[in-house]
Amino acid sequence: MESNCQNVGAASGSSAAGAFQMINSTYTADISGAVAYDPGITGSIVSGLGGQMDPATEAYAASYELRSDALLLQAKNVDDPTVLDVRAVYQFGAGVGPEVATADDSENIAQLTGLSAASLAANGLSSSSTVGQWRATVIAKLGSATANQSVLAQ
Amino acid sequence: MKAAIVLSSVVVLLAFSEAHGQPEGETVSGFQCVGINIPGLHLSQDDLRTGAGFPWMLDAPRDGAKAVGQVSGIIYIAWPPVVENGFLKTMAYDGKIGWLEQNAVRPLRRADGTTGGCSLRRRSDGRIMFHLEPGLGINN
Repeated sequence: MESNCQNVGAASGSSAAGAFQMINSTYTADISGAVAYDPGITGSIVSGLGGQMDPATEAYAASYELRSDALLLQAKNVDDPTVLDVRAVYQFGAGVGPEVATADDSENIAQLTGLSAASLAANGLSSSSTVGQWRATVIAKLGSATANQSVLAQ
Repeated sequence: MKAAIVLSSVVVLLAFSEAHGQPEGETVSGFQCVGINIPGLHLSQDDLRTGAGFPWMLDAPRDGAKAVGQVSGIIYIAWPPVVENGFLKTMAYDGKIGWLEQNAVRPLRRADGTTGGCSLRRRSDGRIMFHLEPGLGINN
């Protein structure tokens, strides 16, 4: 979302890089998880943090993150999680992300998540932002069909 | 005894009001929203971000029963509360009924300390969505 599908380097003060704009720690954990899940990809990925700037390699890490977050939502009884639901976990965390996925559009994100003003601003949100407004920004970036697509195969 | 005090505080403090606007979906009655008991479960802000330490709903009101699902910050409990063997009757986000240790919840509060609840509706895909009364948050 943040990269507008461009393979861009990290901005000053952040390690978020590549087409999926994953920070170093998330990328490292997810690419390790992806390799453990399917050792067969080992030979086709760029090793180390250099993989962040290889879109195909980072896609494996991003896919693993999507899968992990969808499984977490299922464990919290959010059935058939969509890309929009998973984005809530990715953006707001495993603790409060599921709440965002089950909140009405009118709910205030700051009250729901407890995020500080600085954290909200870093996410392009303000103290008055609602869940519906956040959903609209994700849908505007991804398109409604993608945002509402199921993440896990049935 | 401590658990009973916690529960009675939930009952006494949870104030109801009419739903504000009615989004689409079937209204779900007989349940209310409470928050996860952050101090009672000794959850840190990092735990709230990662979900670590959040308890599980069980399929029966006894230790060792099968897990139904892990709760999040907003928890749906039967209203009026139903307690058996120290467990509260709860409802998961998909409508499944479960049981949660009763000291795992506390009333949702506003910044000024007043309490409140929510209205619930079942979306067409079965997900139970909540709408909190204004000003409530899990961190208050």
